[in-house]
Amino acid sequence: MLRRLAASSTGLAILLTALPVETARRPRYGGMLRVEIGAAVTSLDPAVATANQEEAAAKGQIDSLIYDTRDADGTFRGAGAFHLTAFESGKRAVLAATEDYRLGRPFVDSIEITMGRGARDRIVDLELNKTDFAEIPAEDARRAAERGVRVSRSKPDELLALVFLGGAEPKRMRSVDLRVREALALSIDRAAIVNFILQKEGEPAGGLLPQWSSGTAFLFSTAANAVHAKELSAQIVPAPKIVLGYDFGDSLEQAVAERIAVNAREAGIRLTAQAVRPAVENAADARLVRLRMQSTRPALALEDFMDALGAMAKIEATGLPEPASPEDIYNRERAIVSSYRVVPLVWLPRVYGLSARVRDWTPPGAGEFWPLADVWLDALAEPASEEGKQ
Amino acid sequence: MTFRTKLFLIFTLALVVSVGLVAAAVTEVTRRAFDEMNRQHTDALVAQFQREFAQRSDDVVHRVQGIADAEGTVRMAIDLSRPKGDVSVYVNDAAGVAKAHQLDYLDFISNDGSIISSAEWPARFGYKIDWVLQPEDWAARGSFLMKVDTQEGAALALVSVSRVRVGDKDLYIVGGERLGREFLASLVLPAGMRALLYLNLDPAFQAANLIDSTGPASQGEQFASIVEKEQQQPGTEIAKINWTADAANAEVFHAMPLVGREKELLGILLIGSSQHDAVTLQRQIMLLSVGVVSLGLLLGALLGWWGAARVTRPVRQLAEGAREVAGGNWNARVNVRGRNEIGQLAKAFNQMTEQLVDQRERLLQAERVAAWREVARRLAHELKNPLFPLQTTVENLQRAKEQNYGEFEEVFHESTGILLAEIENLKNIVGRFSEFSKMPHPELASIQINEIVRGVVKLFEAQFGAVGRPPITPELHLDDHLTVIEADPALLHRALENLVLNAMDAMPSGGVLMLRTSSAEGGVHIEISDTGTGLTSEECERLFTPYYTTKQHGTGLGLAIVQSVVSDHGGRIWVESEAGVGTSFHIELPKHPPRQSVSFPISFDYEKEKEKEKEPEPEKHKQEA
Amino acid sequence: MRHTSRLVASQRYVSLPVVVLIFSFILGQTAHGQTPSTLSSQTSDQRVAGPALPTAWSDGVKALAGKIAAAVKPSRPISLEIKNISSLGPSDVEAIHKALEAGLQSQGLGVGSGNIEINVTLSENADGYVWAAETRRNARQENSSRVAIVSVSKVVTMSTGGKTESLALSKRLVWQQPIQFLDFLVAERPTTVMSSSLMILEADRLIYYRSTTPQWELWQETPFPHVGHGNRAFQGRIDASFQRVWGPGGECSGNLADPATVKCSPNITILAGAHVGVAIPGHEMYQGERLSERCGDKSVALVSGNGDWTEPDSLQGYLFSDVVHPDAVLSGGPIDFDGPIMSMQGDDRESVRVIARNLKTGNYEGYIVTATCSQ
Repeated sequence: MLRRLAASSTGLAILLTALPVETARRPRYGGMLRVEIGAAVTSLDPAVATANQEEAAAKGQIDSLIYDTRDADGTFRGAGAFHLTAFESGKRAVLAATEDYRLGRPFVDSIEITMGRGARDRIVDLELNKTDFAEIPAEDARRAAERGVRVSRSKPDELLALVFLGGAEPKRMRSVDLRVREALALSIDRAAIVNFILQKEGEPAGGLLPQWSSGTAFLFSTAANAVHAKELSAQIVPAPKIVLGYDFGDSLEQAVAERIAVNAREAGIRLTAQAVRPAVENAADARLVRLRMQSTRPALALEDFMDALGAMAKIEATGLPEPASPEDIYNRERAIVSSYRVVPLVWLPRVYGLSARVRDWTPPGAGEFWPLADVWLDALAEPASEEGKQ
Repeated sequence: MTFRTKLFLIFTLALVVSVGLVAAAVTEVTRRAFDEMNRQHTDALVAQFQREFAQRSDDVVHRVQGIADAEGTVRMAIDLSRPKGDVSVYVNDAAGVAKAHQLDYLDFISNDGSIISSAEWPARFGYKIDWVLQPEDWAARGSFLMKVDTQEGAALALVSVSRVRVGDKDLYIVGGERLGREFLASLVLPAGMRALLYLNLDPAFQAANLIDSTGPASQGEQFASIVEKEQQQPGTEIAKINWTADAANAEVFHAMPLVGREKELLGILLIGSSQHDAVTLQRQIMLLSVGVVSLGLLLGALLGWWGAARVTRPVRQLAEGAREVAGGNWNARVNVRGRNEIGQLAKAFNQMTEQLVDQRERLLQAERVAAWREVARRLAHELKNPLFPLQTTVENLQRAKEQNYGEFEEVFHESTGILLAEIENLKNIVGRFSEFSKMPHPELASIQINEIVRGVVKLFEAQFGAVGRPPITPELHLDDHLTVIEADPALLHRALENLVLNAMDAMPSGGVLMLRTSSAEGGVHIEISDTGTGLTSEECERLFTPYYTTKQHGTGLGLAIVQSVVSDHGGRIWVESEAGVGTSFHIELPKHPPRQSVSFPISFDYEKEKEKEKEPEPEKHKQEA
Repeated sequence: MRHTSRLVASQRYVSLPVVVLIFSFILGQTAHGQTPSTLSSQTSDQRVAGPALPTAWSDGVKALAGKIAAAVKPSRPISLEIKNISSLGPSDVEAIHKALEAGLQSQGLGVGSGNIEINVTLSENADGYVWAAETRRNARQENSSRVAIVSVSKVVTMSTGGKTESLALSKRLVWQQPIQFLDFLVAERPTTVMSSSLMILEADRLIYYRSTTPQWELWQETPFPHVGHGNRAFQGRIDASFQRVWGPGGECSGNLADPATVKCSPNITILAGAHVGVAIPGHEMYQGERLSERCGDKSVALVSGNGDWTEPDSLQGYLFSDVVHPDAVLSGGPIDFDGPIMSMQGDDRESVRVIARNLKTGNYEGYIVTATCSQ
């Protein structure tokens, strides 16, 4: 009878999911949340500049935990959900829960942040349960999940794009023929990049905003047209040559750049992928860039992108009307994309690895910080003993 | 060139030729021996390469098959055989598997020919490789050469294909090793040999595609011709490359084509063999040969010279003896001993000269006798003429005294006149003979012969146009550039007078008397020609015999005197005549007459001959008379 | 007819069996007679007989029609295609379609087959719906198109069968053996000596395998307390999250990664689990497992078929909005198996562990099934 009841009806099913069947499902206070990040934050002093974007982002995440609010200009202020109890420059930071935080004490007692851990190490640590939370590269998400790592993904809010350089920086300005730009854009097989390089994490990008944000991304074609690309490049004599730069040490950009080189070759364009170091002058005609949305609002996100792109390519940072309709946003996107100075490639989600004991985690939206004050640690999911840890 | 020199040169030539042939034969044999040695080395290296190649091929096949048999590959094949098999999961697998199996190239290819994962070019996933779908038994195929596309460009690889079949779906594993400098470095090469590999990846020759065990080969452009030949007609080619002007720095390259699966030329293995040792040794042998040859030639020359001298000495003696005899020394003898042909020849020579001397003496004797007989005959003939009228006149006187005393005065007077005239005639005859016997030796002086000729012509000018006789026209053709000679002008004048007189006598009807002088070798030439009746050949032979004359009167000594004068001056005289046309007398006189003139046969000892006259040889005189 | 002896998947250990009994009795009475199919048909009936478009939508339709008409001038026959990539249900889409046709006709445009193609896409963004109309004057010239866009605020509505997202299922064979096993777990450990380990839960033992080579090799066996009764329907579960193993006659705990730490003890447990919690149309007796992965804003559930243990089975993906309105929508195509699915286990993750029996070979096969969401 019991088995029959257990197996028979919908109502039981509903009740069972509604009831906290296990006591472990109820949020509990306590525990230290172990976090690993790739960047090495040298200083939390706002006056001290960061070395690169990665460090700046990591510093922002830490600031969001120890401060309460953030002004429009990006300044953090007020006492946050946690306070800093230990800081070793570039290595480690420990935050303790603020008991009287206005929005309620965080569930975890403390957060230990280990810095400078590479992506592969973070995944291994997640597998081995040596850490509770780490952001992992989107292209590694599938493999990590296959290895038993618990993976959570945000909506795709990071655009990987190919930008033809031509702005004030870098100092070298080189203009690539419009037909060449268009031919290269048409030759790129985005589906293959998403399916193979990104292992089906992310989606092809035709416009400057993702579908979930603008709702009009579908209007931008992402399909490759190798035939037309070849026709265009054949019109240019001598055969066009492009140097495509990507960030030194970024394996995803390297793989994408090399794939683009293969696509371009089929279209009759000789494209050389070249790793470039930050702040080093190079002879690249185009670069792969990552643009992360800082707002879920499409208009704000697009304006942020135009500001960033204006420094690199010849993109006029024309402001959008206020308020900007989807059509206004679409038209602005279309204008930029039609110039082929910016070639959107793929939208990447932010992927997070979580240990088994992390509960109530929800991925943050674009421009939002990690909601670590909301997560709690499930004691029943903790390892039996310290010695059992590998 | 002397006989000795000729003999020496022939001997030396024979020696040079024989030694040269031997040296050439030795050089050729040496060269062939080295060529054979090089060929054997090259064949050994080619065989080694083929063994290494075969071993590598088997190794590649084995490793690729190992990958095909691996659990992971089978799982991949199983997964992809499902209708919704996800190839993207495996996009990065090839790199790790290739590294684990130490392969330079590895591609996993799906059933439709799409690249699932590529170790050498990871970004090429999804692109198709159609050739792998061709109906071919890859297991039986083993490994083969193939041109592989990589990110860095095309390369040559030894490749094998394995297939994993799950259901009706195939998973292809294409793996291989790069064929490049590492492969060349693995070859064990003997000293002086090296291996190069030309990667035939471009239609035209590219020097950068030629590599050795360390990387791109230097001076690759030198191989353009042999590579292009191979590209046009793949086969075993041999070429020599001279790196510098010195032949010792040359290298001989054997080219071996490396073909792919469809017999296309993908690479060329060039095995180079340095010629340094061979050329150096050849040079040493050559130097030695030259030294030996030179020494041999020198010894041979010396030996030849000595031998020729020995062999030709008797010949030289013979020749010297012959020269002396020809020079007049009939007493010369050749002192050559030996029983060989040279000795016999010398003996015969000596006998011949002895015989010649005897015969000359006999001839001299005979000619003397003949000359005496002729003189006696002439004298008798000359004396007989005046003696007969003497006798007749005296008889007339006797008769007149006896018979007719009255007319005796008249007869006496007439007869005495006749007697005196004939006695005068006798005196003239005796005087000419006396004059001929008392021909003086020339008293030499430097003279111009033209002056003598002009003097003689002037002397007879009056007679040329004398009244009562047909005129004789003198023609002078005198060379003004005659050399001065040493001669007795009086004797020459006299000789020329006699010749002019003879010419005048030969032209009783008048004619032309031509006198010509010209230079002769070492002297002068005088020609006196007339347009008289001419002489027969017999007359010419006897013309210069004393007392021989064709004239009705005369002693016949004129030409003998001319001959004597000419002979005393060391010259010679001859006559040319043609009956009915005329006669020419030619005299050649040297510039410097010899000190003692050989006056043959005018040495006449009167007393001795007188003594001989007393000896009875009555029969001969009587016959001539 | 379903067989009561069929094993129910995703059963969890319940520490308060009395509570379960009480609530199950109560709710069983409540839900008696309501089948999922009935519920869905009621829902769909409500849709068919529903009212006109909400005002916001009508305004949007009007605005869009106006923009289309402006782009098409002078008026010509047009062909109209509507595609839905938003969360709108089919009935809503149909209503919008009809309203738009009416709107275009009111603008003087004849809708039928014409040289001018109007492709309308019903999309949405974070703020609301975005409806876009692409006007192509010549079908061959794909680049010569004009785009008109209107934004429409979202109206809360219920819909069934919204197919804005689509699931793609894939399965991977992990283990097979002739002896029945109840659950399995694969752990990838590339940094240790063994590259991965495999746990197999049989009725009377827990077996560990490890792979240092491409082949699995036996690592350790732990005897499992046996039930001893004639129960033919064994149940078992390995829970990596809680580091527990439940079997027919006992349970184990410890660090499951290290077999040396695992200790087993007899315990008769009744596994009642958190089912999918939704009504699956056409499924009375089902095995379902919810995945932690979400597809858009919907939850994902995998549900097996209705057959018995003598028939091949399949897994089908379903999407449902939330547990309050649990109407699941079929999404994507099924994935087939060569025999009945004996058990299905999930750990609130992106994949489930499925054990099926291969009717051809007789082996029990363990698969990991993953659902991929594509929008």
